[in-house]
Parts: sequence; structure tokens; C-alpha cells
Amino acid sequence: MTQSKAGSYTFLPDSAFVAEAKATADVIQSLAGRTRCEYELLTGASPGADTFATPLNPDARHGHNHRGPPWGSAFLHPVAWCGGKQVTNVDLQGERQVMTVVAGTATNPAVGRLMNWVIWCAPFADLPAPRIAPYRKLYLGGLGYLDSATTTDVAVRVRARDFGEDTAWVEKTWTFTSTTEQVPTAPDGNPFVLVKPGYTCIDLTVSNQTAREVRLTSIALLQVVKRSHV
Amino acid sequence: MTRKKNTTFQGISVFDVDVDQPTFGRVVEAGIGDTALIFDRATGENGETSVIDHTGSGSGCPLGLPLVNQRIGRSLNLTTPAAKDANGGTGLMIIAPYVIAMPPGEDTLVVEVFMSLEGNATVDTLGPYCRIIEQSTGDELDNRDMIAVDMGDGLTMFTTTFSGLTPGYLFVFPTIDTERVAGGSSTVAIGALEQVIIRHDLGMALNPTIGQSETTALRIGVQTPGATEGLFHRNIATAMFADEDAVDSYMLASWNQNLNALDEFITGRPAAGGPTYVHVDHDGAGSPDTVDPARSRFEAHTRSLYANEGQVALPILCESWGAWMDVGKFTVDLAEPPTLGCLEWYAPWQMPTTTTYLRSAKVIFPDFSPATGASTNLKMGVLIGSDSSAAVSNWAFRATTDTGIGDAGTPVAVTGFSNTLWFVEITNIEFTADSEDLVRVRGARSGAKTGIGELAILSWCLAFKP
Repeated sequence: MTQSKAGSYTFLPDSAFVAEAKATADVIQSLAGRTRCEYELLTGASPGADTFATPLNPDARHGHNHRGPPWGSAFLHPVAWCGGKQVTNVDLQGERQVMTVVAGTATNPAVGRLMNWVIWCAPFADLPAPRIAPYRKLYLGGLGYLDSATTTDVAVRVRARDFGEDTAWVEKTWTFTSTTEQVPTAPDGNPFVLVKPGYTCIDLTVSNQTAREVRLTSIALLQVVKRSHV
Repeated sequence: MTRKKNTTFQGISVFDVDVDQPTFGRVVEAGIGDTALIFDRATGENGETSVIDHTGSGSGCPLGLPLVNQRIGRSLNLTTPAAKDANGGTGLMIIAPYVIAMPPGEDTLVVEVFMSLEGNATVDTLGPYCRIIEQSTGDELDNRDMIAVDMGDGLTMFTTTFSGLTPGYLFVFPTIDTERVAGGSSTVAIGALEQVIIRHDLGMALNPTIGQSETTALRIGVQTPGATEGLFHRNIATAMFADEDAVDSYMLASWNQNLNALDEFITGRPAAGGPTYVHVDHDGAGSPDTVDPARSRFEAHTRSLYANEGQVALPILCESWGAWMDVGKFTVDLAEPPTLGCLEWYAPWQMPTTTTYLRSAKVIFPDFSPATGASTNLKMGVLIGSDSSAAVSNWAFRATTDTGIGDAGTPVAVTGFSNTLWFVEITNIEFTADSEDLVRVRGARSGAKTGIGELAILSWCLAFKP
């Protein structure tokens, strides 16, 4: 049986179902087509022997894959990472921090750099403005500690490099307070970067104007929303 | 009431919906029965066992997320290497060993190793290749040469693609030959290992959309779910399709509303392409979708409202900790600190035998459940290398998060590697759903070690594995 695709994804107004409304062909076509489409989107399979009624998803496969609307509610998870270790030479032979930013001054800050960080972001579909797709905007998370326990602010800047046209730097503050590993507080929010489906090259700097040494043990780019950033 | 539901999808013939065609009761019955099937498979309700777990073949599209996206930035240069195949010597070096959790439904891998080469290191001298080893059997599933791609700015990507792989824990060993790189003075210059990406071999469709845009002004026609409902779904009795019974607007409207609710539930977009959602993830207090939802009104495998919803395999984190020699030797000499070999990037070893935290990572977890107790699906695999005489099984490893701890795991030797390769799985790791967290692994040993470098941590991976 050649299953109907007619009316696939043509939604119906409520006026089509009021008492004494005409039962026109488009009503049953829409219902039949949308039933098939929902089946395909849910299962990733075509119910008939013929071709799909629904288009390919961002991975060029069929069905929802939780990559953000309309391909399903997105999962929260890390997308890319740099890993490290809290303390060297005491309990683990051969490990280092991701980045150590030595003490600096206001006129001569110490800057740690992570340049040409190439990540792969699973393909996704953009949303109509003003919505922003979940995977389009990734937030930076980190772990680290100080060489002495004094409240210390560092400026974290991140941007995406886009075929020579770099995105603007996003700069936020991370505050560390402890000589044991901690999640820094981010009084004005964590920095974020706008990425593309597939490869994105990212630059990151950490600027320290204080007399403390800041040791970062983990940096990760995180996918943090389910359906839209707006 | 006997609920109308089809056990398999029946569909509706294209001829039955043609213009001027009568609308038969059987057509409406088939459509309503199919919609009930879709609801049950999406939610696991009404005793449905064929739920969506994203393993492919009609059980939901595989998730296709990359497994490794690790920035490394370490030098592979060898300092006065000792004899070939000795600890700290030259030979075949696994530059970044990985243990990955291959999800069901996927069978391909693309391995991409980014390096900044220097000295006499070229693709011809290094001869890069990659091996895939199955954890449970120790069998080599595949072994392929890697090609070199010039990425510009001095960056070279070594890459290869695998297919026909099996789900479960796999070891991925990208390897180079350091013996053929000519040494100069006391240093064998190879270059830096910048980053590694391991992902599935998939296509890419640019900005695919479904249905109408959000600017279309149509009534949504979605019923707001009840307090304990996930999504609205009206059941229709089979008795309503008795012979010569009329098809009425109640049936058609119910069918329409069920489909609209499913559309929002499955796609995660406002129903019927409209501008606003009817569904919200909400526990009844606070702003929608900003709190850890007690009721998830989207198909997200949370089991917050539907206890039998399908559970999915989802990768969280996977890292290599340092290089390792293919013959089961350390890439550095066994001294504390080492002075020979690949001193900037070698698989590290735990020094004290008492409980010691080895590694921390910043993560964020999805809204999966259960998140606590003895049956979470969050697991960690740890790959370990050792001297062949080491008693690695005397060690125990556990994973912790800010929420809790996982079960202890004891390393088991991988078959066929002469006691130099070990694997441990840590299960039932507690976590905080829908939140940022950090994860750590720790090790401890009963009794004294047999010597320096009794074990070296090669890699860890964290994943949901139902």
C-alpha cells in the first residue's frame, strides 16, 4: 500500500472541527500525513516501503535525535574539554594542569592562552530569530585553585575563529578563593562562544592581574539548554 | 473501555485521502489507532515494550554525538630515549590511548589526531595507524593506516575511518613509529599533540526544517496537560468504530489534538509551528524550564512522568591521560620523576597506595533518572597499563561527583595483552540531573605496590549506559 504523504505537516485550524464544519479532503489528508510524520520523527523509520515523508535531520539521517527543535529537546552534556589534575608530584606522577597563569599586575597582566582549539560540534538546525538553538551557544565551565587563599578575579575571554572573520571576544570574570580545587564563581555569568555545526576553532585567554598564581585543572564547553537560549 | 490502538503502524492509503473520496470509518480508525501506537511507543505507557531508545532500526534515530573532543597541547618529543621497546625508549607509541563507550545503533568511527610536526617527523617516518580493540575479548576489530591532511598554520591532521564496529567498550589506539624519526643531539623531535576528535561517520544536512514556520498564525489546538500528565492524549474506544456508526467531529478533533500534542512532545518546538509552547517542564513552582523539572513534558528520556520511557546511551566525557608504548611499556623510564623518553605526555601513575583522587573534570548532566541510589545508568570505564609483573587487581577505583559515589571497581586484565593492559568499569555513579557538576576518579590499593609504575592510567570515559 502506498501510504499517504499528502498534507504532511499541514496543520489545521480549530475551525476545521467545529460543529457542521465541512469535512473537506484537506482535513483527512492533514491528519493522515501528520500521523505518518510523527511516526517517522519518533522512530526514525518509514512505515511504508516507499520514501520518507519527513526531511533528513542534521546528521543526514531520519527521525529526531535530540539536537534541539525541531529535532527533539536537546540533552545537557559537555561538548569539548581540556582535562587536568589538581596536584602534581604528591599523588600522581606525570600530570599537569590545563593552564597555569602566574602572578601579574594591573599594568603587566599575566595571560594564559589556549589558541587554535578545534572542536567538533554535532550538527544542528538553527531556530527562527530571536530564538538561539541549544548547540549554537556553548558555555565555558572550569575548575581550578590558587597558590594562596585570597579572593582572586581573572578575566576569561573566548571567541570562535570563523574562516578569518573572528567572532567578538566574550569576556567574563571568574573568581577563585581557595587553594583546593573549586568551581569558580562567575558574578557576571560564564563566558560563551557561538559555534558552527562541525568544526569550530576557538581561542581562549585567561588574564591575571593579581599576585596569586591561578591553576586551571579543567576547562569544558558545555551544552546547557534544552530548546532555546531565548 | 477497550482502547483503540494498532499493534503495528497501519498507515492510510493515498487513495483514501484523495479529493472527492469518501472518508470511510476504517480510515479514521486506522489513523487514531496509529496515533495511539505513537503515543505508547514515545512514553512506554499501556504496556508498550517497543519503546524509543535511539538504537536505530525503528527504535529512534541514534544520537550521533562525538565521543572524544579533547584538547591536549603536549609535546611528544623524546628526551634521550633508551633502547627500543624499553621504558622510555623508541618504538611504536600509542600517542593517545582511549577507552570509549560505543553506543548501540552506531557502528562507525572517525579518528582525527591533530599534531604540529617538527624536525624529521613526517607522515612517511611516523607511519601513523590506528587500532580498535574490543574490551571484552581483547580482539583487534580493525587496524587502519591514517592519512595526513594539511590543516594550515603548521597543523597536520591524521585521520582514518572505521565501520562495522560493535557496541560496548572499545579501545582506540592511534599509533606512530618513533624509532624511524632521526634523533639529533639528545632529543628526538616529533612535535606536539594538539587535540583528538573521535566521532561517528555521519553526513550533515544544513538547517533542515519541518512543517510551517513559527510565523504561521494558526490555532494550536493543543490541550494543556493535567497536573500529573506528561502530554495530553485522548483515548478513543474501539466501540466507536462499530459498523455504520458515524464518524463525528469528536473523533477528528481528538485525533488532531493528539497529533499536535505529540508534535510538541517529540520535536521540542511549539506545537503546529506556532510561536508559543503549550508544554512546559515545570514542577509547579518557579519559572518554566529553569528548574530541575519534576515533570518533563517533552520526549527527553527523563522518566519523570513516564516510568517506562526508553533510556538512552549518552556519552559525557572521554579523555586520554598520556602516551603508552604498543608493546606494553611506559613511554618514560620508571623513575620519580622520570628523565628519559616522552616527558611531557606520558600515562601517569599513582604514587601512594592510599585513597587518592586522580583526576577532575567539569561536566553537566542531562535530566536522566534515577540519579541516585543503586541503579543509575552513569558508568565510568578506566583503561590501565602496567608492567607485566604488576598485581593491578589489588587496586580498586571509584568515581565521585558532588552528589555521591559509584560502586568500587577492580581492574581485570584484558585478554591477549600479557598482563600489560587492564580495564575497570565503575557503575551506579550518583549525579545531579539537569545540573553542572564535577566528576573525579580515585584509586586505592590493598597493601604495598610491587614497584614504580605498577599501573598507569591511560584513559577514562564517562557515559550513560543503560
